Amino acid sequence: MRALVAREPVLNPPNEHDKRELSTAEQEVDPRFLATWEAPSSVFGRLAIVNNRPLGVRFMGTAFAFFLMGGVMALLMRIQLASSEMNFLGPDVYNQLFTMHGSTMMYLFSVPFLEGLALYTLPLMIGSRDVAFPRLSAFGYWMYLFGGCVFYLSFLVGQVPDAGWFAYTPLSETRYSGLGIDFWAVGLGMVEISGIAAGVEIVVTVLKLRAPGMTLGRMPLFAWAIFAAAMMSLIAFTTLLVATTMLELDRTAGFQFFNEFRGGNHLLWQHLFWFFGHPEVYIIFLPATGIVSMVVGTWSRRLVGYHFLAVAIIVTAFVSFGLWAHHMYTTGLPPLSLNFFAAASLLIALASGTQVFAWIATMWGQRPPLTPPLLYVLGFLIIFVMGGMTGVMIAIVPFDWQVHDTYFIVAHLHYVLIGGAVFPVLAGIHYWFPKFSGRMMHPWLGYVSFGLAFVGFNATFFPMHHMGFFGLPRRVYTYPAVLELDGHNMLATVGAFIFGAAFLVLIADMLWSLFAGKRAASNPWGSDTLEWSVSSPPPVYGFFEPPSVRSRHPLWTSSNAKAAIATTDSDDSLARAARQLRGQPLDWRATLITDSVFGQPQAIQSLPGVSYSPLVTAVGILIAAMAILFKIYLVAIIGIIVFAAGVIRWLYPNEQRLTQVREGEFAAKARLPIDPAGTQSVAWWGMLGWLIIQGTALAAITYAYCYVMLYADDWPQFNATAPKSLVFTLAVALHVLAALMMFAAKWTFGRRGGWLTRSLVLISVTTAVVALAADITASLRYGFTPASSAFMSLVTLQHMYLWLTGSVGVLIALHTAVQLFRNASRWPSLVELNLQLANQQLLLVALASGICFFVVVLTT
Amino acid sequence: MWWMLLGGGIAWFIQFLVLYLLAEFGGVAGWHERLLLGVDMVSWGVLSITVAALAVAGWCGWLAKRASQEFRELEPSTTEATPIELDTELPAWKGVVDPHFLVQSAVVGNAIFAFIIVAQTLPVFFF
Repeated sequence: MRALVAREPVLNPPNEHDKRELSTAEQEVDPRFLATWEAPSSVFGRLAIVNNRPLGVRFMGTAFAFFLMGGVMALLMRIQLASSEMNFLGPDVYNQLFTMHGSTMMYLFSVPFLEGLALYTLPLMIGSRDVAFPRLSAFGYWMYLFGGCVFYLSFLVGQVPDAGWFAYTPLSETRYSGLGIDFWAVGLGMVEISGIAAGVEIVVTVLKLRAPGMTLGRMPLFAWAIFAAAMMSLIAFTTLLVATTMLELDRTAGFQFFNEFRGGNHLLWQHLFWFFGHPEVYIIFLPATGIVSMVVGTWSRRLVGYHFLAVAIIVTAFVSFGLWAHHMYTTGLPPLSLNFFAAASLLIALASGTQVFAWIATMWGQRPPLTPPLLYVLGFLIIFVMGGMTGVMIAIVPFDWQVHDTYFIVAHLHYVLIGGAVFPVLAGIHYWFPKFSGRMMHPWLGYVSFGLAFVGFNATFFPMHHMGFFGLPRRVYTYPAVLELDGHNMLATVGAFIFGAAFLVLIADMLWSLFAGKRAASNPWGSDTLEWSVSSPPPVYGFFEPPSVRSRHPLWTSSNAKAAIATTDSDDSLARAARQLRGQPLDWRATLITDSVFGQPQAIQSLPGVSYSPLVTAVGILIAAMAILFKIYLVAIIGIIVFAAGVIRWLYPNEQRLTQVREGEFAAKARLPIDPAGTQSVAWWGMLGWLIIQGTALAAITYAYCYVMLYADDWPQFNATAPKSLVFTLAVALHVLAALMMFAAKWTFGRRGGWLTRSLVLISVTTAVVALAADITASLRYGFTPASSAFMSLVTLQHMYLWLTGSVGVLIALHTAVQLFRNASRWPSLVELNLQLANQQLLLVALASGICFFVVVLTT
Repeated sequence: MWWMLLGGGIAWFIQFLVLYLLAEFGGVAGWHERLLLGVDMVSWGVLSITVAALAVAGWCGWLAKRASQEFRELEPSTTEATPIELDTELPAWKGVVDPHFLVQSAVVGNAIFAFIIVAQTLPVFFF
C-alpha cells in the first residue's frame, strides 16, 4: 500500500490551469457581482437559497443520511438471518424493514444522490454558472426532503409500510395493508415529483447552457450519462406517479383499478410499476457509468471509444424501456411476449459490454496509479460484470422460472445496484471531494474503506447465489435448519458488518479531511473537464468569465489543438461571446445560452436569485398530502391555498426585475439577446419537458384503460354507460378550437396588426375556459361513480387528467393574455415566448381530450 | 441532426411496443388463429412493423452517412472555426463546427438499432 500511496503526489502537479485559475481568483471581483451571486447565510435566508452548489450538497447530504438509515435496517435484517429460526425480529417487523430498506435505497438514496452530484458538478463541467431553472431545483429538494420525511414518519405513528418496495397489489390494497402504504405512496409521490423536476432541470441545462464551443461531441461523458438518465426519468417517474396515484385513489377514494371483484386487474400495477422499475435501474446505473468514465479517463490520461461510450449510453437509455416484463416472467404473460422481453433483456448486454470493454481498453497499457477513486472503479468493474452475467442468466425465461423470488435474485440485484452504483458513487466522492471541500482526503483511509467495502460486499452477497440455488426464498424472515444454510448466512452477516464498517471509515475520512485535510489545488488530479478550472471549492458565481471550449478535454492541451480552452487573450468569436459576461452583469444573475447541438452562443439567460416560493409551494403540497392521508380535508384546502400562493408568487412577473434585466445598463451594451423566445429559450425546452411528462401520463392512463378492457368480461363493465354525450363532444371541439386560435395568435404576432393577435388570444382564452367548463358540467351531469367498477374508475381518471391539464392551459393562456396587453410593444420577445408556451399547452390539451374521447367512443 | 442520432432508437422503441401489443392484445383477440398465406396475423404484424422500423433506422443511418460525406467534402474549410459575427444572424450549422461526432455516432447508433430490431423479431420464427 505504501507503494501505491507514494505514487499519488505524481498526480498533483501545479499546472497551467492552476496558474490561470489563480490569476482569475486574484483579479478584483466587483463586490456587487459577488453580492448578486452570494447565497444568504442567515437561518431563514438559507431556506431561500436557489444556487446549484448548496442545493447539490443538500441533496447529497440528505441522500447519504437516508443511505445510512437504510444500511442500519439491512444490518438488522442480517442479524435476524444470521442463523436459522432466529427471533431477533418478528415477521411483521422484518416485512417492514425490508420494505423500508428497499424503498430507502431505491427512492431516497440512489437517484437523489446522483441528482445532487449532477446539480453540483454539471454546470461547472459544462461551463455554466448555474442550472437552467434554479428555483425548480430548490423546489425539487424540498419535495425530496419532505417526501423522505413522510416515508419515515410512518415509524413514529407505528404504521410502517410492509408490502415491499414494489408494493404489489393486492397486498398493498386496504384489504391487506394499513396506513403504512399510504405513507409510502404519498412520500413516494413527492419524491417522484422531485425526480421529475430534476429531470427537466438537467435536460435543459445540458442542452442549452453548455459553454461556447462545447458541441455534443465535446461534452464530458458524465454529462451524456446524466442527460440520458434525466430524459429517462421524465418518462419513468411519470409512469410511477400515475401508478401510485391510482393506488392511492384505490385506497382512499374507493376507485377500483386493481380490485378484481369490480373488474380491476392486479397485473396492471406490475406493468406500470416495472415500466418505471427497470429503467430506474439504468437511471441509477448510467450516471454511475459517467463517473467511471471520468475517473478512468483522468488517471489513464486518455479515453478510448468516446463515440462508442456515448452511443452505448443512448442505446441503454432506449432499450431499458423494453425490459419491464422480465420482472414478470412468472405471471403468466403470453409466451411470445416473454420471448420479446427476453430478447431485449439479452440485447442490452451489448451496450453494457461495450462500455466495460472501452474502460478496459482505456486503462490497458497506461498503468494508471491505483488511487482510491480508481480502486473503487476497478471494484465496480469486477462486481458489475458478475452482476451483469447473472443478469444475462435470468434474462433466459426457463432459468428465471427456477430462481425467481430466491436469494439468487437478491444476489443479482445487489451485485448490479451496489456494484453498478454505490461503488462508482464512492469513487465519485473520493474524486470530487477536493472540489467540494477544498481539502484532499486522507492519504490512506480511502484504501482501508475500499478494502473493507470490497471484501465485505462479496462476503455478504456472493453466498446468496448459492442460497438461491438451494431454494432459499427471499422476503422470508427466517428459514429452517434443515436447509443447512446457516454457514452461508452467517458469512453473509459478518460480511454485511464489514461492509458497514467501510462506511464508518469513509465518514471518518471525510470528517478528518474537512478539518485537517491538505488544501486542494484547483485541479489536484490533472483532470480534463471544466469544473477543475475553477478554485476548490468553486467561487459562488462559478465562472468569473464563462469559458469557451476547443476540445473534448479542455484542460489537457494536445499537439493538434492550439488552445483547448479559450482564454481572455483569445479573440475568436466564442471567446468574445463569453467575454460579455466577464464579471457581469452586476445586479442580476446571468449565464450564456448556446445552441443545443453545436454549442454556438445564442443569447444570455437571466437567472432568478433567492426565493422562498419553492419552499412555500412544497410546504403547501406537504400540508395537503398529509391532510389527505389523515382524512382532514379542511386542512387539505389550506394546503392547496398555500401551494397556490407559492405558485402565484413564483410565476408572477416582477416588473422591476424585468426592467432591470431588459433595459438596464448591461442590456444596453450586450451584443447577444437577453432572455430570447423560441427554441433559443430555456423556457421553451422546459415546456417541451413538461409536454413529455403530460404525454407520458396520458399514455399510461390510456394503456391502463386498454389493459383492463382486454381482460374484462364485459365492457363497459356492469352495464355502465360510457361518457360520450354531445356535451363531451362539444368540449373536445372547443379544446381544439382554443388551441387553433392560440396557434393563429402566435403566427400573427409581429406579422399582422396587434388587434388581430389580441382578438385571437381573447377568443382562445375564452374558448379554453368554456371547454373546461363544458367538460366539468358534462361530467357532473354524467355522474362519475368510480367506486362502481374499474371502467368507471378509468374514465374518471381520464377526466381528472383533462381537468388538470386543461386548467394549466387556461392559466398559461390567461397569463399570456395579460402579458400581451401589457408588454407587447415593450418586451415582444417575452410576449412571443408566452404565446409559444400557451400554444404548446393548449395543443396538448386538445390532443389529449381527443384521444381520451375517441378511446372511449371506439371501445364502447 | 437529433433525428439522425435518435431515429433508430425511436424506431426500435415503437417496434417493441407494437410487438408487445401484438403478443398481448393480439393473443387475447385470437389473431394468432387467423391465417393469411399460411402465416398467422400476429406474425404478419410482427414482420410488418419490423420492416417498417428497419426502414426508418436504415433511412436515418443513410442520412447520417450522407451527411458524413458532405462534411468530409467541407473538411478543408472547417479545420479552423469560422468566426461568427455576433451582431449578425448566426450562420447555419454546416461549416461552423466539427460535426463528425454526431454523424459517426448516428451511423453506429442506427446500425446497432437495426441489429436490435432484427434480433428482436427472431422469437416469432419459433412460434
